[in-house]
Amino acid sequence: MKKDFLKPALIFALAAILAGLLAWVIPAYQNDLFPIRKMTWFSALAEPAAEDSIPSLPEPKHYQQQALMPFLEKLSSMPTLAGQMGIISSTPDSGRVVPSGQHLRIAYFSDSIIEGDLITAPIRYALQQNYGGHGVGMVPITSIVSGFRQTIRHSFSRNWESISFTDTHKNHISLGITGYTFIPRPYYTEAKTIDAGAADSLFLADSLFFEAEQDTLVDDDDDGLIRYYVDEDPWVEYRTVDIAGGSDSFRRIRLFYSHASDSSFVRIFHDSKEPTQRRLIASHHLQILDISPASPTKKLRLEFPKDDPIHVYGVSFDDKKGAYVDNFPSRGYSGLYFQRIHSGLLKDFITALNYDLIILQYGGNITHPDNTDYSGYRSALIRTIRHIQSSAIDVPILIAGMHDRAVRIGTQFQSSPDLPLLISAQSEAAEETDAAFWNVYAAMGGRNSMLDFVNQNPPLAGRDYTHFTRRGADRIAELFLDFLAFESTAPQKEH
Amino acid sequence: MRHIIHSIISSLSYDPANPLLFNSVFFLFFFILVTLFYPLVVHRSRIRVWYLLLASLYFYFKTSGSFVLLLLVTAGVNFALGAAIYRAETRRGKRLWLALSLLWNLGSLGYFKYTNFIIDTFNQLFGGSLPMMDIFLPVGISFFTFQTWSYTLDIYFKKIRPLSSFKDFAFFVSFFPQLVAGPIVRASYFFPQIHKKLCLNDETIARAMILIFAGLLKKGVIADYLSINFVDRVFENPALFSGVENLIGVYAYAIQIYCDFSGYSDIAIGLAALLGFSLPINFDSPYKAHSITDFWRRWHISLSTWLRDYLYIPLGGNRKGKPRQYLNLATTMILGGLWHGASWNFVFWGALHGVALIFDKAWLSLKFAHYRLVKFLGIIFTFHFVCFAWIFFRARTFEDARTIVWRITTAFNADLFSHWLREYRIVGIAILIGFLAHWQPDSWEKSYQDLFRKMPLPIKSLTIALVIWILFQVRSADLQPFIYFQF
Repeated sequence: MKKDFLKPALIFALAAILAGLLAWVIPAYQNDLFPIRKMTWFSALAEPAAEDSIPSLPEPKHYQQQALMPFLEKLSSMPTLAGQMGIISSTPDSGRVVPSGQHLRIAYFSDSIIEGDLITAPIRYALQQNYGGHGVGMVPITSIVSGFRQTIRHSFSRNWESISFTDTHKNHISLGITGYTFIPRPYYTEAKTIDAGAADSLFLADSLFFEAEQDTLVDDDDDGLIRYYVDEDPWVEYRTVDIAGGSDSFRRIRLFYSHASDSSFVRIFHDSKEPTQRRLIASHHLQILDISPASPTKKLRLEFPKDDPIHVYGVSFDDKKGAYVDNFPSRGYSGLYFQRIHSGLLKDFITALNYDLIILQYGGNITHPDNTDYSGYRSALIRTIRHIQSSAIDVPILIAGMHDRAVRIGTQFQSSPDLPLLISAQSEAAEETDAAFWNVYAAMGGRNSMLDFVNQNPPLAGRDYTHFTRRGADRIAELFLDFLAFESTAPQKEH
Repeated sequence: MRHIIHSIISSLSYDPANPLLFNSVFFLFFFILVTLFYPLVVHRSRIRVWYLLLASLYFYFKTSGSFVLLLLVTAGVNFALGAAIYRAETRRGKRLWLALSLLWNLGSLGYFKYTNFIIDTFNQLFGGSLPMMDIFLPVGISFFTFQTWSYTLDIYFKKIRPLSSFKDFAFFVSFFPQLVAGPIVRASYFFPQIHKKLCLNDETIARAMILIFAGLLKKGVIADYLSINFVDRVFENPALFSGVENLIGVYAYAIQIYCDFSGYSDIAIGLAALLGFSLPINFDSPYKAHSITDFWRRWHISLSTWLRDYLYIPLGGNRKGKPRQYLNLATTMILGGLWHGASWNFVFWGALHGVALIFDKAWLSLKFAHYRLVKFLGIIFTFHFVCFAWIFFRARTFEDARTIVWRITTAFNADLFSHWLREYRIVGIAILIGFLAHWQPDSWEKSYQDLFRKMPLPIKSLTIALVIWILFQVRSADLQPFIYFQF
C-alpha cells in the first residue's frame, strides 16, 4: 500500500530527469511553421541571468536640438486662447503680441502605433486647447483603421485602389503626403496581406532610382489580384465627432489631387444638401480644390467618376488659424524609402500645408532581437531625412526614436536586445542630418519599461508588447509635450 | 555551485511577479518533494493532515505571500461561527450566527473584490470623485471563501456536524490542489476523507495522470498560446480587426477560457487523486451541451451546484410558482456573474444566461425539444449563445463588446479568412485541436487511461517529460507577429 503512494514521486522524479535528457538530446530546429528551441532545463539553474549580455545605450545625453528651435520659437510666440499659460511653458521674453491669425501645423509620420489617431489626437487636443484650431487636419480617402479612429467618422466605398509605401512595385506613382495615393476604380480587389517584416526587407537598396521612372505610366498595371467589378462611383464620407482631438464642425475643407483630365470632376455633398459638381484641373502637379462650405457643416461626401483614374491624396479639415496635427500612419512601414513621395509633390504639399514641424517615428518594423548591425539602416534613414529636407527647406525635422518593445528571451519578456543599437542608429542619423531627436525609449523609462506599460491596470500597451493602447498613447503624447516643454526651457548653451 | 544554492534559496521565497502556478518548474519540484515523503505519513492520518496542511500553507505563501494569514483568519472565523451555529439552541440564535458568517464572508470578499467597483459605480451614478483604493486581490479568495462559507451553511441546514479540530478544518480550506482555482469542494464531500484510510491503485494513478496531462496541455499549450498570440489582441482593439477576425477571436476565446479553467481544475483533481483524495468533477465537455440548462450542468459544476444549493433553492427555487422561479433564476445568474469579477460586464453576462435559462425552462417543457435532431441543433445553438455571451465576459468595456458585435455584423470581410489562415496557421491549428479534443467521444478518455496504465513506469515518466518539453516550446515560442490585412 505504502509502495503505491511512492509511485507518483518516482514517476515525476524520473520525468524530471528524463526532461533533462530530452533537453540534452533534442536539438534546436529552425523551420517556418514552428521553430523548435533547445530546451533549458537543469542548465537554466546554473546559468547566471542573461541581464549582462544586453548592450546598453551610451550615458543619457542631451541630443542636438538646434533644429527644433524655429518650431519652439513659433510655439512660444503663438497667441494662446484667452492668453493663458501654454502647456508649453513660455520662455521669459515670449511676447504674446504676435498678430492673430497664426497657424501651426505638424506632420506626424509613423507606423501602426499611431493608427486610429493614437498619440496624435491627444497632442492635437492639447495644442488646440491652447492655440485654437478647428479640425483634424489631413485625412486619407480610405483607411484600414477608419473604424478604429474616433476623432472623425470616416467611411468609403471599396472601389478605390490604394497605393502605399509597402507597394514597392508601383514606384512610378508618387504617394501623397499621407503616404497613400488613391485612384477611383470601377472594381475592387481582394484583400492584400502586409507582412510587416518583409515589406521593407529591401531597405538597403538605394532607392533613388524610384524617381527616375516617375510619371511615365499612370494606369493599368496589373497587380495580379482578382478584380470584382461594381457599378457604383467611388465615394468617401466624413462626419465630425466632437471629442477631444476631433472637432464639432468642418470649416475649411481642401481636396488634394493630381492627374486629372479635362473632363474630370467631383461631386460634393455638404451635410444633406443638394450636391454640387466641381471641375478638376488637368495637371500632373498637385492641385488643391477648396470646397469649404459657406457655413460650418458636420458631414461631407465626395463622389468621383469610377472610370477616371485621377490621383486623390486626401482631404484637409482645418481653418486658417490655430494648431493642427496630421496623423499619417503606414502599417508595416519601416520609415525608409520616403522617396516614394517624389520630391516635386512633397515640396508642393509642404508649401500648401505650411508645416512647422515634421516628425518621423519609426523602428517597429525594423527591430529584430537578433539584429546587431544597424549601419545599413542608418544610411537609409539619412537618405530619407535628406530627401525630406531637400523638399522641406527650413522645416524642422524631429526623429522620434523607437519606443521600448519587449520580446521573449527564453521564457521571459524583456526589452528586445537590439533596441539600444537601433536607437543609437536613429540618433546618429538625426545628428548627421541636423535633425532633432526625441528618445521615446528613455522617456518611457528605458529598458523593460514596456513590461510596466503592459502590466498597468488598465494596460497602457497590448499583449504583443509593441502597440500602445489608447491610454498608453495618451501617455506617450504627454511625454511628447513634456519633451517640448523641456526643450523650450532648456538653457540656451545646451543648444 | 554557490550560485545554484543561492538561486534555489531565493526561489523558495514569495515573488509577487511570479506567483506559483501548476505549470511551473517550481511546482514540479514542490510536488515531487511532497509525494516523496508522503508514503511515510499517509497511513497516520493525524500526521498526514499536518503534513499536507503545512505543504498547502507554503503553497499559498508562494502564490500570495502574506495573504496566507488571511486564509487562516477566515478559516478560524468560519470554524468558530460553525461551532456557534451548531451550539445555538434557538432558531434565532442560529440565524444570528449565520448572519455573522454571511457578513464576514461577503464582507471580506466584498472588500477585496468589489470595493473599487462600488466606488466607481457610485462615482458614475452621482458624479462623485471618490478615489479608487489600492487593493490587492488575494489569489483564490472567491474559491476559498465559498468553500468555508459552505461549511457554516451546511451546519445551519443541518447537513453536517462541525469539525472538532481546527487543524482538520484548516486542511480542508487550504488543501493546495483545489485552493486557488477550484473545484469548490463542499465540507460534506471532503470531511469524510480527512481521516479515511487512503489507497492508491494503478487505475487511479492512470486516471490522475491523464487528467494532469490533459490539464497541462489545455492550460499551457492551447489556452496560453491562443490568449497571447491572438485573443488578447482582438479583445484589446476589436475595431482594428475585421468581422471575420473578431468572430475567430470569439471562438478562440471560447476554447481558451474552457482550456484555461477546466485545465486547471483537471490538474487539481489529478494531483489530489495522487495523494489519495477525491475532488468532484468540475467540467464535463460543456460545449457538448444541447441547452443552456445542460450547459450549466457541465460548466464549472462545483460553482453552479453551489449557487443552486445555497442561493437558488433558499430563494425558493421552483417551489413558489413560475414567476418566482424565473426571478430566482435571474437573481442567481446575475450574482453568479458578479462572482466572476467586479464589473457590469459580468453582471450583464450573468443576466444573459439568466434570461436564457428562463427561456430554456419553457422550451424544455415541449416534447418537440427532445427529438434527436432538435437536440443536435440545440448543441450548435447553445454553443453560439454561450460564445455570444463570452463577448461580454471577456471584453474590457461594454463599448468594446458592442464594437465586436458591430464588426462581426457589419464589416465581416469573409474573403480575409484564407489570408488569416495562412498567416495564423498555428493559432488556427490550436483552435482546431482544442475543439476536436473537446468534441471527441467520451469513451476515448477511458482508452487513454488504459493505455497509460499498461505502460511501464519509465515510459510513463518519459510521457511526462515530453509534455514538459512541449510546454517549454510553447512558452518560449516567439510571439506571432501582427499580420495586417489591407483592402
